[in-house]
Amino acid sequence: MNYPTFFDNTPIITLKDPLSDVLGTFEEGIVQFSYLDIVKSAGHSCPTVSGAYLCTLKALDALYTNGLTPMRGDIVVSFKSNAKEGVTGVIANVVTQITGATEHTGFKGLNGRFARYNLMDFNANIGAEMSFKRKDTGKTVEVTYNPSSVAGNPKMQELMGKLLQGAATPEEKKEFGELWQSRVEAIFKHADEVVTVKEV
Amino acid sequence: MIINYPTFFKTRPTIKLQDPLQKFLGTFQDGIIEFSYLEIAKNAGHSCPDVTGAYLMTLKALKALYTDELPLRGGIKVSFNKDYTDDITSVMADVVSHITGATLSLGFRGVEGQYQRTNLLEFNVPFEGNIKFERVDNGKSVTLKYDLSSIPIDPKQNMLMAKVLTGEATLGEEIDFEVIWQHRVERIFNHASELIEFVKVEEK
Repeated sequence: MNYPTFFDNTPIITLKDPLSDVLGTFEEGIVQFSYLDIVKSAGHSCPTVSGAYLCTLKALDALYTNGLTPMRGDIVVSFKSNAKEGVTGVIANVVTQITGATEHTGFKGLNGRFARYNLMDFNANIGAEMSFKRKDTGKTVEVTYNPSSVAGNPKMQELMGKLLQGAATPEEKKEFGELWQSRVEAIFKHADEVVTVKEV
Repeated sequence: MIINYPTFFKTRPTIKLQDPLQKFLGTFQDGIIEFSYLEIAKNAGHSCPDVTGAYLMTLKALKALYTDELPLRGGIKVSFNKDYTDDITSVMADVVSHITGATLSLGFRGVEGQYQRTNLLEFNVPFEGNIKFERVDNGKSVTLKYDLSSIPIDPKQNMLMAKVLTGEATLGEEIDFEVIWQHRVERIFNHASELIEFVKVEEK
């Protein structure tokens, strides 16, 4: 798989997944997700996918301090909007992959433990686009993502139009992909400006 | 990186697909992606007979639907005969979604009618078998059935599991349970061809 080199320089997210520990899957339940892992599942790398990745990373950092490892399956994630609205579904899928939280699907639990469903909800009455809550302590953070300060190259719009109409040359196709990914890279570089985390 | 996992994960077949959306947005130059059992287990949060069954059924279905071509991620509709409230269906649906890109309502909504990932997963569809895979482009479909009853459960497994879940297991018993559990998964992989069969193959 040949992918943009900046993927390898993006931060990795480490969690502990107690279910995987109990069932002898991963020693000590330690799992790690990279941006590459997420992109493969999402089917693409874009400002929404990278934003969801960075929001999750920063939310987990804020929820689990002092060297604590985030607990997969013990985090409730809420979205202000409907699952079918705009990019919410794309963001939700990224967050599910990292935190294990699902709305309906996923593992149903063993004796009431390790369940992965009912950990995600939409149309929530919250003060930001999304919130992350630790089930064990109730600690909650609200997260907002705004990449508007990271401008895209003005040529992208025109090239995308050509691509979608099938009128782009191979060079234009390549150029569009590069411009698109360079904006994603810039978003990673400006992570502290585009993601806001507030404890509530 | 993962600290340590059962060695048999490493020798299982991977699943390779082409994802045109990746190519379009300059993510993977050739648009080809590959998933391993390790990645799927990581996402599911565990390795178990249901995760394995879903992985193996997807592998077999994609081979049958695409023969020598690379399967088209986002071009496959997946149906389950039960609801997502069913324990096994719920776990299997996430595995299949991860590999094929098909989702119920989440996921990418498309660019001008192309590359859409939603509305490709369906539940409560009446048919015999566990999962039905259908190519959106030509309508060809396969329905598969997974029956692992021929792979015996170690007589100690349930007793050990109960102890582990109530916190009464010794460290030795915890390890015994983990080994027994994953050994069964390994055996399922080794006997895949006997456990999974096509119930129906339809050409349109």
